[in-house]
Amino acid sequence: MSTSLTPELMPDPKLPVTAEPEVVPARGTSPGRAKLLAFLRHRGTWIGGSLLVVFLLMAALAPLLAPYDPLAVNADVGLTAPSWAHPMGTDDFGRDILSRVVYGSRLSLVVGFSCVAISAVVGTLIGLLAGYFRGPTDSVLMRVMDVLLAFPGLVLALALAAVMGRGMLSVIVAVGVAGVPTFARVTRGAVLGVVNTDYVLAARAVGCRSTWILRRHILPNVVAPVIVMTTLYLAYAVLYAASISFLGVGVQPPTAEWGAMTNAGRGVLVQGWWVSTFPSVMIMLFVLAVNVMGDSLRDALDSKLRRS
Amino acid sequence: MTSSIMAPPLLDVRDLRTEFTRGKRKVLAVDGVSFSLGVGEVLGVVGESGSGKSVTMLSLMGLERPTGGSVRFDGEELLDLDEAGMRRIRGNRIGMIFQDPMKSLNPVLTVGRQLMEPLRVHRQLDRRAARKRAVELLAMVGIPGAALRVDDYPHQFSGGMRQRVMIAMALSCEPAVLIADEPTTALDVTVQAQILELIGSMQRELGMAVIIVSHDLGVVAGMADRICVMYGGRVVESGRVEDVYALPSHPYTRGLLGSIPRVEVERGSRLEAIPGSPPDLTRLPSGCAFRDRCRFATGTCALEAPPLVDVPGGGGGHSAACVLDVTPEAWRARTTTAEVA
Repeated sequence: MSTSLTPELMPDPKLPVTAEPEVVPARGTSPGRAKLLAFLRHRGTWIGGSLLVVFLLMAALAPLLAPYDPLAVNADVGLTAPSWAHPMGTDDFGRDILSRVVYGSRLSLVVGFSCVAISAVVGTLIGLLAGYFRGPTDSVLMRVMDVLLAFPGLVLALALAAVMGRGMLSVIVAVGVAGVPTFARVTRGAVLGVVNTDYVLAARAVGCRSTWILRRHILPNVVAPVIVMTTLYLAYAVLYAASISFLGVGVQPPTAEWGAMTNAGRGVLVQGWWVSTFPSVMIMLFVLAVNVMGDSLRDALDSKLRRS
Repeated sequence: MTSSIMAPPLLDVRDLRTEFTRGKRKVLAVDGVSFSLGVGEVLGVVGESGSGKSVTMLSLMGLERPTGGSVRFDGEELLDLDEAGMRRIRGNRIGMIFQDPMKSLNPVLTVGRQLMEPLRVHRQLDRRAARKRAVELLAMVGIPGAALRVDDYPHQFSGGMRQRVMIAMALSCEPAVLIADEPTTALDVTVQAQILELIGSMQRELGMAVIIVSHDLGVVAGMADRICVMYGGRVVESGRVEDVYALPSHPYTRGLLGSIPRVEVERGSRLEAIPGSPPDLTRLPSGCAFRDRCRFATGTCALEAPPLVDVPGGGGGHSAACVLDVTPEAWRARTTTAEVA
């Protein structure tokens, strides 16, 4: 190997280099960029996205937006109907529902995003390992996932919350764990489609480590379905978290949280419909926004569904 | 080539076996394959699909787990190496290119990033140095505008250009051996010639040894010094290209050579074809794997698979695995009687 590959020596003049007819598309259009454009062009992105932005702003600017202290009890205005002073009315302790709904968005969003982060990261990791290594690793991991999947999500979350004690942290962990098997299955399926491709074989033939191949070659090729799952599960997570709080195992009463507020208004539903209704409407709107956006993401990313 | 025969071979494969389990069946995809490769030598491996060519190559790279035999490379036994040891060899000392350049590049990474991988893994180059080298490599394999093209994605390259990229990747660490597994099968005929020319010029420039796997005897004839003909997971004939083409000694090799269309033939004569279809490796016949397609098969063919033996009167190192008398005279007698009958 005395000859080195210096470029001066190289392009062999005898070599017909330009004989090949070639179509060169616009430079630097990555497959990802094309998909991003498709996503941005989708109607659902704008509808769901703008609603989501409203929710995010609401959570971020809660102290500015809320007209009252969400925890301030005022016996004078107990259970009053919506009015100019209290646009969403007050609950039986005289707390302003609008302020509580605004502050509640903070908790719901934090819980929702944390749950999804846990499910997506852990689930994707398990799916990658199971799909790439196959064999015993696959069997053990996926049987554990099957066990988790065998419990209805809410029951699993309730059981975990019950074991860990009440509070926001247990809600996050419980709902997060409940979502892991779904992510693991979706990821594993996608990995199985990629792991036997020639480019993975070529990467191995170049001497890449398994961890490198998983990160550089496999993960980018399976990330699309995971992103779609993430948005869809975000909606579930907020709903689950609210349900757990509604059932009284999650966030505890004085704290403003949509699920807990819906529960608190249950007792006075006949005298004051507004106490339960407004927080539940918020849950519904949030779930709707995320789902609409998730759908347009799926349309943009999933090549099988894309209209040509 | 005499010097490379005298010196200890760079790569020496002895009795390599690779077995798969398909359901309950055992499939012996590579059944006792032996060959050697000298420094700077070009070895052609030919055979139909399913003859075990590709699996042999994957096995000696450790990308399939061989069940037995020995692969000595540069004085080191590769089959004894662990995964980390094999990674040091792959892409560094032995480079490999694959059949379908459309599928062997990752669609979501730029060509440059993929070219940088072996450099970063084996040469520990930092990002900038690896990138600079990637541009040089692209220019070397004849990609116009290499400095701009590094940042393009695989779908922006044509098939031939992608195969050039794959060659650049395989050569990036200046390997001692390049394994080209059907490098032109998926390409247009016009592009095929360019790619073969590129592999040939790189081989001369770098003085590396090349194993070129193909089912196309024409491809191999133009490039190889020596040739190995494989059938049913075994080597049935091997020798210097001139010798094998002048005196094909195994009925299968004769069949392969006979089935190449030629320009200078008599009007009305038929193109010979080998009867039957490539063997199903799960159901190989006993003895010689070719016997159920062989015109000259006798009862002894079913007894055991014949070993490779030197062809009497053939050039040095020319051997065939057949129980028949494979001397030129015997073949002449056989073909004339077959034509009379």
